[in-house]
Amino acid sequence: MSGGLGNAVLKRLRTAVGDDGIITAPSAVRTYACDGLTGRRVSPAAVVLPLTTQQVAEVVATCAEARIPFVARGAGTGLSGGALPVAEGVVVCLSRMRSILNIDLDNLQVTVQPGVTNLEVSKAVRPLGYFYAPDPSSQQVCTIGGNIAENSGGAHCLKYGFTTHHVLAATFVTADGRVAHLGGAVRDAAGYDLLGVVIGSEGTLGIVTEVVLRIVRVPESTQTVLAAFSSMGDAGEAVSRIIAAGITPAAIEMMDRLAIRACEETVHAGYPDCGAALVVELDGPSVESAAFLREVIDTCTASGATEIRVAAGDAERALIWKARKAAFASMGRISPNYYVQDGVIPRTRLRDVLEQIDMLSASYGLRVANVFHAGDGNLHPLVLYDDAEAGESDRALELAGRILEACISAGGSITGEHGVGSDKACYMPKMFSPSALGVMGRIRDAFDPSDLCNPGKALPTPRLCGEVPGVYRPHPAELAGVAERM
Amino acid sequence: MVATASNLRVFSAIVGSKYVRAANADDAVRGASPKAVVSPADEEEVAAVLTAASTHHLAVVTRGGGTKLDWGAPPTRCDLILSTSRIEGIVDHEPADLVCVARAGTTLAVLQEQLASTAGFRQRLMLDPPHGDAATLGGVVATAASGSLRTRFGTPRDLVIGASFVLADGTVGRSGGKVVKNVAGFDVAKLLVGSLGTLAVITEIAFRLHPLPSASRTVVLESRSVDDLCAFARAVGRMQVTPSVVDLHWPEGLVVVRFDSSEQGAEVQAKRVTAEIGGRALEGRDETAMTDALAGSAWQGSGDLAALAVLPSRVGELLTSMSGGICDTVVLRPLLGTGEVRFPPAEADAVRAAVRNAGGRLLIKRGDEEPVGVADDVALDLMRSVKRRLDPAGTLSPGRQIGGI
Repeated sequence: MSGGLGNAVLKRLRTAVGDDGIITAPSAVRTYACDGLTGRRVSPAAVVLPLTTQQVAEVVATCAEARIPFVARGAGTGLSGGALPVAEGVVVCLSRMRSILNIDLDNLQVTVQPGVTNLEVSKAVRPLGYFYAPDPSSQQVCTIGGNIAENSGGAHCLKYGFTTHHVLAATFVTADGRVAHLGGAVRDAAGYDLLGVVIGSEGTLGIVTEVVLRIVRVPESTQTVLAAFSSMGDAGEAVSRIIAAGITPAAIEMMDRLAIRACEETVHAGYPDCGAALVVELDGPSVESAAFLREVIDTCTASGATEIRVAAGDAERALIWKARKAAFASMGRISPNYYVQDGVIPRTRLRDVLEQIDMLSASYGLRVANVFHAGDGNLHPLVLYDDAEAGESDRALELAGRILEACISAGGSITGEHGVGSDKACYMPKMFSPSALGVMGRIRDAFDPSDLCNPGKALPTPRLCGEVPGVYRPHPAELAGVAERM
Repeated sequence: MVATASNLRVFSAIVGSKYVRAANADDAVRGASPKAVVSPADEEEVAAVLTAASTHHLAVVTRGGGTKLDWGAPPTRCDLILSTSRIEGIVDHEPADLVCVARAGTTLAVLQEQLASTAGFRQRLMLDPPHGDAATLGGVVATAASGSLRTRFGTPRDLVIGASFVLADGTVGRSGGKVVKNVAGFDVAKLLVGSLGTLAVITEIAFRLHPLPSASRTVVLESRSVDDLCAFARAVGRMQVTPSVVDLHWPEGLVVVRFDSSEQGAEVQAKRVTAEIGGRALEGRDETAMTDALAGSAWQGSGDLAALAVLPSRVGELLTSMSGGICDTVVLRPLLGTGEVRFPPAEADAVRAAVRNAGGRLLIKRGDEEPVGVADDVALDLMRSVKRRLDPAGTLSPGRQIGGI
């Protein structure tokens, strides 16, 4: 029934979280078998749904003493398999811990439980003239706990920074079930910045159970520009010029023809049919955003923009964003299957790398739709394929891998916001030397010497990545796993 | 340290005899006297020096510009100073990308000069820590030092996007990279920010840059009333303006608000403040004179020095209890609740009590007092665990971090 947990462990878990807080029926635990990376599925032995920090600590202590691996999970929207369960392990689902505990306007802080969704935070403080800045595209459903695990960004992190810049403090359950307080509502906590390394560690160091977030004053004015270009290269050039001119827009997003068409079919936002569209948002004091708006329009024109529209009001702006944020979901309109890649390149290399993606797409005979956070060089190429065609999923995976290699050679990164998870652990050696990975391994070990807390994620392991650690070879098992995913 | 002569030979063999010397009285670190000063040329030599030091059980304190070497507790052992003075230079500056990579021994001043003078671009690393003229990048990061610009741009924690470093056993580590957005691997650099040299020797750092503003305007409010000063600062925080600096100075009785923007952007924002909540706008020579007079006022002069932090809402309460003369200088960033105080050692208890009563933290940068508001036991235990994994023999700056780490 519930795998190899054993009756004593099950009893202790049940006592910790109550009868309605534990799921062991195979048909029910299957719901938790994957996150947003839907092809990789592992059913856990049990799922627990704690309500308090103490319950999480008791669950973790139970697992630690019995040497049972555990995986924390929020809404399961992650795209890198970071919340993939371990068979015979326990999933600690934090979705029932969803209270906003305190809004402290005097100190511009909000205290929340980890299951609160990203958007709920902004909704709670928006009427007061404030917002929570990180805004991943999945913000309606993704949770603050998951955002912390992934150090989530979003379109507006270009100006406002990532999750790590907006978390002041966290209550943290260690991998052996003790409770620590990291950071602080009062700034400048003494000692090492443990919170800084926990954020973005993909749930491998412990479990965050309560969080103090920083909120930001809503800007006086927001201007949104939609600019059409005949090619991705021209649009990329405009992005480089805007950044180089010393303008820091709140966001610069880019979509190519394929992505625009897909989004238009779903949202009908009225994007022009063009080779590439840029969405540039400027915010701040009216005097600044108005001046920058003129500069952005001039820069786009000089870079060959064929059409420029400025959103006339909030409704128009919302529609432009609705189309952009619907991009992934719209791919179903133009392709039976797709794989989302997440790579980063220096902003100055946009034209160059986009051309390489074009050439790769042509040589693999697979379409690639591009929709991404251009302002910080974070690409999201969507590799389109048809699972029904023999071998196409393998080719799609290979193409996605080649795109990552292009990002690394350009001086970039294998992930800007989706995380390494179980999907990209074996790519880590392409970016980091064995000794650099060894240092990260030692930090993991400092927090979780028994390797029970979300094992096998974020860092490569010999088991996953072939017997020689530090050298990447596509392992047959990995390929098989990926084939299943596609 | 035993057998000094033979140890010196070991290090000479690594870095060349020219770059090893016997230490003198000026090399002491808060009373701990090292035996030798070694100046490796690059990461590889740093690794070899640390490996040799570990083998010979020598404790190593890393020194950059030496401007903040008295921050932190005295090292429990100090045999060798590892000077980063030769590990300098800008490795990579991609101006159109607003990113630069520099070696740790580069001074902040040299970096800023180069960034401001790149043809076609005027940029800056938005950090203005104390002793910024002589401080090195590695030292600024290791001490998490920041200044007035923190209100808008944050601390080294917010601006470092990657780092290379060497552990005590010679292992070369790296994290992050030279792109601003990057979540591959643990953010190890965060652990090094403020680590006081206890975890690794930082060799190279990648920073996010910002464009130099073309104009600035400063608004000041002068008052002897703590309440008025705090109310003014809070009101600025509530306005939809974006100041780079909001500093409160005591005993001067000043709130200084600076806007860095375009000519028009700075002008309009400064005028809004004076029109809506008061204060007086400074320009040109007035502005420069005022800024120069206040710059680093907390860091100059004698006495003990502490960084403190309270909730922003309790700044007034804290300042009221300190305004009676127990501190020589108080510089606060009221919107963050952080700042620095300088005080005669005899007033240490009163300062500590004031901070404790306001629910705050006091971290002694220079002085022997116990800090206020340190980490809980479990967090401390995790910190010790990190130290043990990265520097099991306690080679690097032992005892300088809180909790004797």
